[in-house]
Amino acid sequence: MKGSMLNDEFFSRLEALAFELRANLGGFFGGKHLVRTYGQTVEFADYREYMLGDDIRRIDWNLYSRFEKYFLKLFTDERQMHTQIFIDCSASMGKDMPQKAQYTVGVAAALGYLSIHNMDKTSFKLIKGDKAEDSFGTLVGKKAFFDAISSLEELEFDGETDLYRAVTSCPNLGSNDGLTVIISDFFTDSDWKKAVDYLCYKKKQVLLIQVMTPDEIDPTYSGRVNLIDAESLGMEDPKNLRIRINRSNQLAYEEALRDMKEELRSFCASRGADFISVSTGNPIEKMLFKELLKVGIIA
Amino acid sequence: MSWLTPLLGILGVIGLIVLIIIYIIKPNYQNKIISSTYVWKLSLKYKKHKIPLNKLRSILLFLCQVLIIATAALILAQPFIGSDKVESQRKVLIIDASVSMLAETGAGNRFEKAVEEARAEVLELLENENAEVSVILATEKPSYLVREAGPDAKAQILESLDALVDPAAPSPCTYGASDIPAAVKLAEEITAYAENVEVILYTDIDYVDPGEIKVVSVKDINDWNAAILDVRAIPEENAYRIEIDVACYGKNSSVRVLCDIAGLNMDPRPLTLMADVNCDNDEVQTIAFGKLREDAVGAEIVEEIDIYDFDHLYVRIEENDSFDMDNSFYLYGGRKQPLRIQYASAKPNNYFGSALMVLRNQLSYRWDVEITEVAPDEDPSTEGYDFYIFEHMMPAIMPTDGVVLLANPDPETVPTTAGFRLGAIKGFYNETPLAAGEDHPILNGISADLISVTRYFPITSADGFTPLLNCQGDNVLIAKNDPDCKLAVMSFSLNYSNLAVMLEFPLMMYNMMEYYLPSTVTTHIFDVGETVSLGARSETLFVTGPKLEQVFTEFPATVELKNPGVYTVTQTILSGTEVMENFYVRIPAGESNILSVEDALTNPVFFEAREDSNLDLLLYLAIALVALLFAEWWLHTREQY
Repeated sequence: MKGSMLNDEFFSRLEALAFELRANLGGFFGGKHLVRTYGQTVEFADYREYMLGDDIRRIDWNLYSRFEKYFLKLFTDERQMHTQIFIDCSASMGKDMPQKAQYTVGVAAALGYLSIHNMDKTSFKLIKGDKAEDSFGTLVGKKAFFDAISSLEELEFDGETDLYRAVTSCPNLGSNDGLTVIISDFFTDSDWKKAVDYLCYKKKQVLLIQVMTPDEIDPTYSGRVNLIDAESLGMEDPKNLRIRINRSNQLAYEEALRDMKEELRSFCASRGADFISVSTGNPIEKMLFKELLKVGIIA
Repeated sequence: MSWLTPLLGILGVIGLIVLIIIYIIKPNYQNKIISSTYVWKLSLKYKKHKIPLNKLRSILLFLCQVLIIATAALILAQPFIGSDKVESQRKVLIIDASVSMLAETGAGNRFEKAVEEARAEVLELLENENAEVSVILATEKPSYLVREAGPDAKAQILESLDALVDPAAPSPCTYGASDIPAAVKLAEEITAYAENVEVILYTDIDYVDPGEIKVVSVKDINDWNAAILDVRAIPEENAYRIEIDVACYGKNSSVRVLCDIAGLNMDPRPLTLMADVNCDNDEVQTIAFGKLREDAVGAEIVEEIDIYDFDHLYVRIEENDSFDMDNSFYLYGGRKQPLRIQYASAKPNNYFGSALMVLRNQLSYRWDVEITEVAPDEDPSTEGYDFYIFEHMMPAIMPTDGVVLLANPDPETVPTTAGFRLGAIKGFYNETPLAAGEDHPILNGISADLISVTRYFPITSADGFTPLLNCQGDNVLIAKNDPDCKLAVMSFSLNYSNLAVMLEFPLMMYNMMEYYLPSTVTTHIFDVGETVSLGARSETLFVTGPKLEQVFTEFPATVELKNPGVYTVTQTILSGTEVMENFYVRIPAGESNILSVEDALTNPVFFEAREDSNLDLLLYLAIALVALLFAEWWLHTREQY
C-alpha cells in the first residue's frame, strides 16, 4: 500500500472525540469509561445499607446521626475498555484499489487512536484467509500505537477471507470488555452473521463498517465487459463474470447493493450492533463526525 | 424479379456474410478489474425477469442490422419486376456479321455458331402458333433476312438461315465492322409498335450494359488473335522509318514479325527483317525499323537499316491463332513517281521558277518532281515531259505526251491548228481587273478580281476550250482537257500583270497540276468499308483487287472497298507509259480485337406498355432501408438506457 493519510494533522483532529460505549460493559480497571457498576471514583452515585463485610470506612456517619442506620456512600466507576478492530485483508479491500486500502487503514487507525486517546486498549486483528492475525498485540499508549500504525501502513491485501472462521477462531477475544469493530466491504460468501452473533455472545459492543469505493456504489462502466474479480485466480475463475451492462443492469446493481446494506443494517439492529457504510470518496472525518455520531458510538 | 446489376448484388451478399461472421466472432468484451463481482452476481437475480425482453431486443437489433445490409445489397443489385415472366411470343434475332465473327472457335467459326444458336431459337419459338420471328443480318448495312414470319414460314426461315452458312456460297459476313446500332434501329421498326417483343443479339462483343437486349455471346474463352494492326512509313531526314503496330488479344505471347522489303533502295533483291514482340495484356506494341537517331521519337528501333526507297513492304506473322485475316499487311507508297516539268521562255523570269519550286515542295509527298529550265538560245524539247511551259514563245511542234501551258504566246507564231486565235494587243493606262469565267478547278481559291493586267492579247476564238478568266469580256485564260490535248493558254504576260507577285499564281499552278495530273489515290492504306476516290491521268482506269475487276472512264471514280487485300490501279498516261499503282485494304483494326468488351448497347424504343410493366423496386427498398435504419437507431437507444 503506497501513500498514507495517517499523519499528525489527521490524528490531531481526532483528539476532540471520544468513544461513547455502552455502560453495561465490564472492561478493566482504570480508564475513563463510566459504567453502571460502582467504583472508587470521587463522583457520588448512591447510598445503600451496610451489609456485613463492607468496609466500615465507607459508612456515611452523617446519615447515621440522622437515621441511626448504617448507610454506605457509593461512587461511580470508570473502566478501561478494549477496542478490537478486525480488518478484512482480502484482495477486494484494496489489492488493485490503493484508495480503498488507504481508507480502510485510515478508518482502523482513527478508531484505534480514539481508543488509545481515551486510555483504552486497542488491538488490530488482520483477517487473512480464515485466521485473524494479532500481529501487534494489545496496544496501550500512543507510542505502541504509532509503532503499530507505521507497520499497518505496509499492510498487504490479498486472497480471500472467511469472516466467521477468522472471528470465532481469534484467540484472546475476551468478553464484555469493549468495542469490536469489523471493517470490510462484506462482499463475501462467508457467514458474517454468525461472526456478529459470536461477538454478541461474547457481550461485545459490535460495530460493522462497510467500506466501498464510489465505483462500487455507482458503477460508471457499461457495455460488454468481462468483470474480473480481484480475488479471482485467473481468467477462467468462476468468480469472474461476463456481462453486457446496460441501464437495467445498473439499476439491478443499485437494487442489489441497497438490499445488501439493508440486510446488514437490519441484522445489526436485531443484534444490538451498529452498522455504517462509508464511501472512500468521502473524507474519514466525515465518517467519524457524521456516521459514528449518528449511531452514537462517538460523543 | 430480375437484377440489373447482379454482380453488385453478389458483392453485397458476400459483404453481408462477412459482416455476420465478424459480428459473431468479434471479441467485443473488454476486461474490467473490479474489487468483487459479488454484488453484480446478486444483481443478476434482480435482472432475471427482464432477460427475455433484452434477449429479444438484442435479436431484434441484430436482425435489424442484417436487414439493413441485405436491403443495401438489394439496392446495389437494382432489382425490378419485369414483364418477361411471360415468355415473349415475338422475337427479333440480330446476327452480327462483322469480320471478327469469322474467327475460328471450336468446330466452326463464330458466325456459324451464331446462326446455329439463332436456328435453335427459331425452332423453339415457332412451336407456338402465335409466335413471330424476325432475323436481321448486321453487316455494315443491316437488313432483314426474315421479317415478322410465323410458323407458316418456318421452312423458309430455316432455309434462309442455312443459306447463311452454306459452304458453297460466299460468306454473307462483311470484311469490315458491323453496324450494330443500325441493326438495333432496324429492329425498332418492330419493337416500337408491337408489344412484348424480345430482341436477341448474337455477337462476339461483350456488353457491360446490354439494357433490354438479350446478348448471346458466341465467342470461346480460348479464342486468341495475334494481329498486325498498322504499318507506317514515316519520312525522317530523307529516309523512312517503318513502324509496325502488333497486338495479341486473349493471350500473352511472343509474336514473331517478319517484314519483307521489296525493292529496297532500288535493289531488286528482297530483304526480310525479323523481330520478336512480347505482347501482353491485349496492349498494342509498336516496333520500328529504320535509321537510329538520337533525337528520334516514337517506337524503339529494333533493327537499324537505311530505307531510302522501297517498292512495297509485306509484313506478316506466323501464328496459328483463331483469326488469320489480320496476320499480314502490305504497305505501298515507298517510291514516288517521277514528274518531269520543262520551262522554256524567250524572256526567262524568276516568277515561273519560284512558282515551280513551291510546286515541287507542295507535291513532294507524291511526286518526285524534276524541273528542267531551257535557256532562251536552246530549242525546247517537245516530248519526254509531263508538263511543258512555254512563255513568250510557241513550240515548233505542240507536245502530245504531256500538259502544255502557253503563257503570253506571240499571236504571229500561233499556228492555225492550235485551236485558238489571238487578237491585236490591248493596253490600258491603269491596271484592269480580271473577271472569272466558268467555275473551274483551276480557279479553286483564286479571286479573279484581285488579278489585274495592263496589256494582253484577247483570245478571239477557242474551240473546245473552257474560258476561265477574261478582261473586259476578252478571254485571257482558257483551258482544254481532252484525252489527246491538255492545254492551257494565258494570253497576257506576267510582266504586265500583278499575278506574278500574288499567291494566286503558285496556287493556280498547283490547281493546274491537280486538274491535269491528278493523284490516283491520296493514300495507300484503306479500311474495308471505306470508299476510295480515284483520279486518273488517262481516259480509262483499270482497277483490280480481291473479287473486283472494274474499268472506269469517268473521274473522279469511286470504288467501295468491300474486301481486304491488295488493289492495283492501272492506267496509260499521255506518254503511252503504263502506270501501275497499288494500295492495300485492311480489315478495321478494331475487328482484330476478337475479345472486345463495350460499355453499353444502344437499345431500341420498346412499345410503351412494356416499360410500364417493369416495376422498379428501388424506391420501395429505399423506404424500407430508411425505416430499418430508424428502427435500428431506436433499438440501439433503448439498449443503452
